[in-house]
Amino acid sequence: MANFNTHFGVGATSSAILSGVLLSMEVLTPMEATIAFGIGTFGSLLPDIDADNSKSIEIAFTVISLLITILFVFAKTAEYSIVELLLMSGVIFWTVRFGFIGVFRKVSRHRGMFHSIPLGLIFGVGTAILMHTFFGLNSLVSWIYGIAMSFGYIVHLILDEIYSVDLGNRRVKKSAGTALKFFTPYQIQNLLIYLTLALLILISPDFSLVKERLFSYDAWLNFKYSLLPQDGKWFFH
Amino acid sequence: MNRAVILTLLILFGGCIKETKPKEHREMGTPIRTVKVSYGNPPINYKQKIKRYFSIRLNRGEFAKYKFSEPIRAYKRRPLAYGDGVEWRGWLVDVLVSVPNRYGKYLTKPYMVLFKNSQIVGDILGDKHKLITRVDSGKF
Repeated sequence: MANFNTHFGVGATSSAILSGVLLSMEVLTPMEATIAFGIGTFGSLLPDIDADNSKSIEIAFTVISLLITILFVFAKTAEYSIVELLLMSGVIFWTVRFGFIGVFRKVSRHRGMFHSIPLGLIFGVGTAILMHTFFGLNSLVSWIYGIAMSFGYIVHLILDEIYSVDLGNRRVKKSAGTALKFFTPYQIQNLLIYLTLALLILISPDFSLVKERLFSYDAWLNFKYSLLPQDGKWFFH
Repeated sequence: MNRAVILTLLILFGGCIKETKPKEHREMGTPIRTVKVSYGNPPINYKQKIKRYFSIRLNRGEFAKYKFSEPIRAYKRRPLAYGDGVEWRGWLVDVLVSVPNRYGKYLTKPYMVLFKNSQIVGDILGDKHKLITRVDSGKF
């Protein structure tokens, strides 16, 4: 199993490449690409939130608590005074960051459902819905943020699988196959996970712009043109 | 393990707040008659305004080609993070904007341009958005 620093390094590098490619293809603006990079890196740390003593759970809960607190401040800024907002924000942050984490630690099991591909997709679609409906972003950018989240998440799972092969001792560790999986051993859990994914897809933003900008022949040409220097001159155009 | 599933579902569905339509405003004391909401007048010279707007906002916007729909009435709900209610009510123009990429190939993108009193107040990439409601139907 890869450690926190490895996950962070590989996740950040992969996310930087993804957002750089999208920036180069002029699908994202520089600011949007920076946010996509941040989301992808966060996604690459997310699967380890089920490990009780990992740094990931600390970081994930800090980010989630901050996000919920900021959303609360945005939504209620017209209703309350600054001091009221400060006090209530403190309570919300404290409750989520230090209260929920204890409950979550008790009920989650490492390498359980959080290390599975469908959960990576759930986080991605959830991000797209959050960006579109909560922040009002357009469907293309919302989906790209969602894709960045799932991408980072799946990079983490792949890395865990790579680390389950011990090249020195030429053996496969017991953890092999527990990260990059589509199903857990529990049927009810599988049913709930796929049902959740289907429901989220149903209420997700329009996907047509993503298909057109990322998965069409024009998009492929755009990528091809952006990949290598078109005038044949390297570095000196 | 099942507790973990239930907790995860609660967290996930906690974010799925029901889509709310803006409430109709009723005049005090006259509950039957509803107040007419104002969308303002249709935008004047909207094609020129949109061309000028995108020519500076898009990369290589000065070379853009356009296809316009007729203006229609529409409104936009406020994103949930910023409260509730209607954020904008006015006239919407659907535009197909073709802009050359760095290598000269034209790529077409749909935009919704939002007008209030003949002034452009914003644009949204795409031809639909969950927060936008079209009052009329428009055609290219």
